[in-house]
Formats: sequence, C-alpha cells, structure tokens
Amino acid sequence: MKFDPLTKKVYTDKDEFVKAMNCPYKMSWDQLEVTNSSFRKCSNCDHLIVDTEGLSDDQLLKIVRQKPETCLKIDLNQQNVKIISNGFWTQK
Amino acid sequence: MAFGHRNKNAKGLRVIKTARDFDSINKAAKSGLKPIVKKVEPSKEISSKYSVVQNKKTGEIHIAGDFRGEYYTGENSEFETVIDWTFYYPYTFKSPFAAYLIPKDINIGERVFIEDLIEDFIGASWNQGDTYRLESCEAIWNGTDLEIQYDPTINRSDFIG
Repeated sequence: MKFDPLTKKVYTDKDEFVKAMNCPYKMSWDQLEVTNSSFRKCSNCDHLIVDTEGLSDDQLLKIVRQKPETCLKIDLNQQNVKIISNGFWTQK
Repeated sequence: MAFGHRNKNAKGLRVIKTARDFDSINKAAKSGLKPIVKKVEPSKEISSKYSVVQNKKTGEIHIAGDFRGEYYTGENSEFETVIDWTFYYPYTFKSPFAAYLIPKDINIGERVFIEDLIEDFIGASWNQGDTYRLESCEAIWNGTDLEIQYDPTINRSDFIG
C-alpha cells in the first residue's frame, strides 16, 4: 500500500488507485466506536472505518470496492505502507 | 468522498470559511462578511522529505518519500541518486495572504470551527521526521480575532478518511 499524506490518496503497491481519504468531521481513531471487528464506527455518518494495518492490497481493494463509502485508518508508521510525495510534484 | 458534508463538524460548531485570494476576500466582504486578513507564513516546523533517483539509461526519474522504499539503490541498480534526501516545505497556496470570513452575528466568546487554517500548526508527524499541517481547528472569537484552540496532543501519525 502507498499513501500520500499531502493529497490523502491511497494506492496499491502496483500504483492502482484505491481512494482519496477525506473526513469532513476531522475524526480521530480514538473518537470512533469500537466494534467486535477490525472496523470502528463513526457516530456522525455511520460509516465503517477499517484499520489498514495488516491488510494486503488485495484485501484493501476488496473492502473499498464492495463498500466505497468505507473509511480507512492509515498510520504513517505502520509496516505495510510506503509514504509517497507525488501530490506536491503534480500541483499546478 | 462525502464532500456534501464539508460544512459540518463533530460538535456542530459554526464553520468559519477561509478566502485565499484577492477576489474571494473582496467578494466575501461585499456579501457582508468581515475578512480578518493574515499573512500566509510557512512554519519551519512543517517539512517533508524527498529523494530523486534517475535511470542511468532512460534518464527518467523517480521520487522517493520513504526511507523504507530504497529499492532503487544497490551496486547493480539501473538507478543512481541525483538528489539525496532533502527536507522542504511541501505546501503551496494561491496567495501570500488569506482571510478568515467572520459572520456579522458572531458573539464574543463563541467557539467556532475553522475549516481551512491559515496558520501552520503540526497536525501529523512521522517517525522519519516528516511533519504535516493541521487543516482544521476550533477557535474562539474574542471580538477582534480568532484565538486558535490548538492542542499539541492532536499531533498524530494516523489519518482517517
């Protein structure tokens, strides 16, 4: 998985676009409702938020394609993410 | 993405908009809002890093942003580093000034939600040294200006969305 913190866009390792992250409520992980799964729930919009740590690219794509409204949590320090900076270079 | 909900925030506070250029500031003023104009000043505390490697045969370049991605280097690599790891200010803005647009009926002491902060505060940081701007923050109107209610504990390494 690749993540650009400037554009908030998520890609697979093969550069396939997954989604652009956007939380209009500026929620943090701690504010979300804990569930019995790796998902958390947001009380503002009822979206599920999945912790991407430990997910493969295939698992991530499957989740987002099945439910495009699913939100993601990405930690810059997690092992399965590479940070990219493409957003800056493509700004016009 | 739920762009239709951009004017909302978790606590239901009034949202203060930001105008980032000459025309939008004056348009807002004519519509009855009071622009509080401020300089857009990059903070030295906000920085991101990059490195550029170049294919020795084709001349094409690749940009790296993560130390963990140094798959280009090595004795037999097709790539060579042409710019080593360098920190820079990674944001650009329309103009060197911007304005918070204050509604006429705002009350002194009212807590509001600034959607697009003009000032630089650290919102996220990474253990490789990169730091990113806080986009939004609560503030309190004191009658002449917005007092930003920045809490350094919101400096996190995770993103939600």
